[in-house]
Amino acid sequence: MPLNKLAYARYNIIDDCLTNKRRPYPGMEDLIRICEDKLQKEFSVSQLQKDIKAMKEGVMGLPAPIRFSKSNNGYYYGDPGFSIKTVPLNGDELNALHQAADLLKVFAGSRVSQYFNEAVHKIDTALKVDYAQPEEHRYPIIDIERPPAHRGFQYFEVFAEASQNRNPVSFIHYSYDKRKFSAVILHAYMLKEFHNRWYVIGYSEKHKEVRVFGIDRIYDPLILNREFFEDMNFNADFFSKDLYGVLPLWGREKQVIDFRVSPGLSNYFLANPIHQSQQVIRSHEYGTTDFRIELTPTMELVNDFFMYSTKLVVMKPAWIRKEILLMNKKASAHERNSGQVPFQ
Amino acid sequence: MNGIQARYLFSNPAHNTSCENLQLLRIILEPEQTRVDLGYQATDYYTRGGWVGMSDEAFIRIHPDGVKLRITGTENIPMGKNKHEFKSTRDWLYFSLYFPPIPFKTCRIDLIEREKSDGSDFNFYDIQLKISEAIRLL
Repeated sequence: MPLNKLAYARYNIIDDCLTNKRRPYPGMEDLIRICEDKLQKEFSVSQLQKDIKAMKEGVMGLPAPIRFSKSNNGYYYGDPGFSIKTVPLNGDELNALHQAADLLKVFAGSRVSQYFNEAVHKIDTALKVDYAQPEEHRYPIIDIERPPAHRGFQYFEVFAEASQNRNPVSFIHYSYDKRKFSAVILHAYMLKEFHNRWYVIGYSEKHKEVRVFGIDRIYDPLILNREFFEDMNFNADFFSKDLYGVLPLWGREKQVIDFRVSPGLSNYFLANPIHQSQQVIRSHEYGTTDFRIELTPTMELVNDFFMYSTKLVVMKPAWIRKEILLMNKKASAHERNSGQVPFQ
Repeated sequence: MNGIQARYLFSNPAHNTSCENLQLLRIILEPEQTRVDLGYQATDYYTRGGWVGMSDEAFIRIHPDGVKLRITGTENIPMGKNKHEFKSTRDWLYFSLYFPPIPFKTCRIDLIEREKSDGSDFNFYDIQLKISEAIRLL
């Protein structure tokens, strides 16, 4: 039966007391006082007695050899080297930990922060050292996409900490489209990943509104000692739920988008919905499927629809149809010119 | 030393310049040095965007007394005779210049690569450093 968190915390505190060489033989009153101090909650004698009994019965894995010394009027471990923190895991628990460590290792590397990578490395090392298995018999059974680290990723941690600690950040941003630099002061609210790229979202003093910045276009963030601005209009749900991607198209409200997909591509859309609102509105006889999504249109959505445009047709709204038609015309022109005319 | 122990940022300080492709972005006052952050956008004017480099005679001039502080180093741009060659007219370069510390007080400075410029030098005039606009860095 799973342990509740509070009981688990008490067992650990009792274990700390019994392994504390500087203050050996803690009495019942000591245990209660220390548990109450650390957990900021009141406990009775009978509660702690139940805990000691549970530990003796092996609630944490092995039975704890807890004894009471009448001469010292306190508790101690019969085996001086015992601690519940050194209790070995059973086979199932160990396998589960190995699998979890493998999964964590996949996420480490380029995707999260250096601290995370170091923590994963420590877990991995601890598992190898403490619960060694022949390495040749093990291989990760879970493997996911491992994109190479992209430019700007080294700043992930700066923005994560600034956002956590509510500190504004000054950075230089280079706009690929405008081909201009700008010095931005951002009050960062959240970081978001989309298609293996990270973006920081927050209130920009320069733009006087919430903006999204790809961290690959950011240089040299500096944390500022200045009051953090909370934009009451910021809606985290909008960025996490109402968008496909991160860059909403200016002036476009949340709307219904219907699109028709070829039989082959239908299978992918059915298996991997692009948004939580995605639903099938009609299945045709030969496998073509009509889908509906309801979201705020983004640059990424239009680009992906364009990418699929040999197998996907937007039925509504008309403006997305026109946009993709225009993109296709440009692509055809480049194709006709064999790339000799410079891309603009 | 300029007498300050903390670091202060001036973001987008007001200034005058004739440089079209170079942007003055930030100035950071530190106890040991003054840092100037700039961004350069390559142009169609030169083949494959041309090149950039920073003169080792560049200096900051502090008004009104005209004290000159000569450049001490650069980051991400060569100083002296070396050049950074662009690969295309669409390239860009973000870089920093370092000078001795300047006093932490409201003042006006010039950033001069070459006094007698042929027009291609990186010169900025009347850069306004207002203490009321300085932001302390953590």
